[in-house]
Amino acid sequence: MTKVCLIGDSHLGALKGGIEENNISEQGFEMTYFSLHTRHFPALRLRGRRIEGEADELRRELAMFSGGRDSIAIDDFDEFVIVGHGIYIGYLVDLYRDYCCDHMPGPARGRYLLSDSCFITTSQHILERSEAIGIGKMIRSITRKPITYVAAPNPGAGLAESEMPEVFPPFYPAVEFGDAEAVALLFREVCAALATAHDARVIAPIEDAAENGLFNRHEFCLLAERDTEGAPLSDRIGAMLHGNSRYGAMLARAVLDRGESP
Amino acid sequence: MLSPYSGLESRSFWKTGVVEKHPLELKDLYIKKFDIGRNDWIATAGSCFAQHIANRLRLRGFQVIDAEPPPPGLDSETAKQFGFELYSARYGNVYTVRQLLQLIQECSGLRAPLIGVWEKNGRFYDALRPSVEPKGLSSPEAVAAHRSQHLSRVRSMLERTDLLVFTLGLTEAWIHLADGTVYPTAPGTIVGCYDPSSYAFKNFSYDEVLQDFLELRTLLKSIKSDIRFMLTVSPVPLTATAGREHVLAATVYSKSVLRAVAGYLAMSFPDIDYFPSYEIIAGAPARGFFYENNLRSISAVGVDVVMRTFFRQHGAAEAPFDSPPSRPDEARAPNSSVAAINALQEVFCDEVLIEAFAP
Repeated sequence: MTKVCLIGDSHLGALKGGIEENNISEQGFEMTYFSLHTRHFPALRLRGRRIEGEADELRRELAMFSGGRDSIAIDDFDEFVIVGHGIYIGYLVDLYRDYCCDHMPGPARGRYLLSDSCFITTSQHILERSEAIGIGKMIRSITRKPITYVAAPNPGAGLAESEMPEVFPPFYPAVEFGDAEAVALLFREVCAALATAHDARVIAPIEDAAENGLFNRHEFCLLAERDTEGAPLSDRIGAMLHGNSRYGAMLARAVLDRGESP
Repeated sequence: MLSPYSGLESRSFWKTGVVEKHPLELKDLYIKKFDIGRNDWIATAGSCFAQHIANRLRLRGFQVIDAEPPPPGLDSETAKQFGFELYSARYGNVYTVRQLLQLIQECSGLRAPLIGVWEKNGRFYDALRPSVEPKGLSSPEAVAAHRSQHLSRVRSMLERTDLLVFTLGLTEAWIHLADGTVYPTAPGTIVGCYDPSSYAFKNFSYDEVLQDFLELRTLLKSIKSDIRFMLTVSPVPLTATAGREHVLAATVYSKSVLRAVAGYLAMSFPDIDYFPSYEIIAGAPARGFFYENNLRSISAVGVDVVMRTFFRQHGAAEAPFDSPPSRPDEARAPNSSVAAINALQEVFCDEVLIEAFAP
């Protein structure tokens, strides 16, 4: 039995749903989930061989969302999966707002042209500062056990660009100007670079779920399962940004099915 | 008996101006020719030493132009590897006056190098600034696109430059025989391939350096009529010489020519000042103290002394070193977009988190 520690923000929900609906835990894996709101992760610390919250309030919240466990005992697990927490293609898309690179076929539209190498390096540096990488470094500092980072999903299709807040990264223009596939490819290259740098696996958004390169098909996001008629826009956008258990099942296969016995 | 030296200040005499002064306290070594205002836009270019000047000017709150700022998220060390934050645009080191002249001519549409792309291992490099893309680009066309953007930014930079701080570095260069294009590195040292039938070594003379600068000045005045110049000579010796002289003798020749040209220009034009950083670092009073062990690199203490001397005349000497740039739009952009995305995610993730994991 492989004991898997899954740590994540709200994007862990899709993976959890996918695993449970596919009875993954009956296939030689024992899953333990630790979840926290993304804002709290910088407040986690390594104490001895455990990861715990800096403050009592955080330890209580970790326990609330993690089956009563208020800390993560590294030695209790055989491998670690860190979901979301800043491993997100949106950062590249946001960089795309003011910068383009050679690999992108669309028009420059006044943006500064970077080399592919510079675009990837910049993106990697942004993601290096994510909470996910911070957690991974804590784990890696005391064990060589496998670590897998799972990127947050692409936004789901189904909402109009006009409904998005101004700070929403320019996913829609990237599609409109034909750069979406290029951005997605660059993100996969960034994931590969992170994997090499951190002796880990990094799972990019599932390509089979994608539409127009940068979006997930509607059927793979929470928006497809919710009755959002009349719901506040923030709820609809929230549902759009999160994968559902169908997406989670695809993720689970990528995370756990490695063509070998666990 | 009265002599022309009677009544001169102590700074005019070697004994009282140098011997009896501590080398760190040559306070009157430099007297400015003109003021540099806090609202003046400053552009920097030149050899490596100019990087120090740009950094210190920025830290002191002077408005140093950054026409090609790095993307947010890139740390400063990596940004520099891509040629960002070294000078006012990503032209890399501009060692010779001819190189700067040709850059200004090129961004003014007055020249185009016959050979502008060098290749190495299937990757392509801008031969005129080969160090700004460490891994090169995928095609000559990509190099051309990047160069076009760069030239446009340099042109815009020059159009608003009130003061050009230029550090003269070398007289030695490698040129393309067919059109005279000067390259910052010898073909084959970083990238490219040395073909003696195409490229040749060139050691510029006093007259050539002077004429190049005069032409450069005229051209810049046509772009920005009130532009002024602050010249310095890099105290960093040559790494190597391709001439027949010993590298020490070659260094002295190179620096002597550059110093003489800078001196002549400063004596001849009211809009050109010379700042004696070379004398502070390389002069006999310092006894080599400001060089690192390789006798080339300048120590941080040396840069401090140079810039302290500069700021004594140009104000802000008491300003803290960590003063922010005075124009927010010129400052290195904080990673505000990352914060915005984080905030966006935080707003949206509560409900999902509770639904999936709350007891």
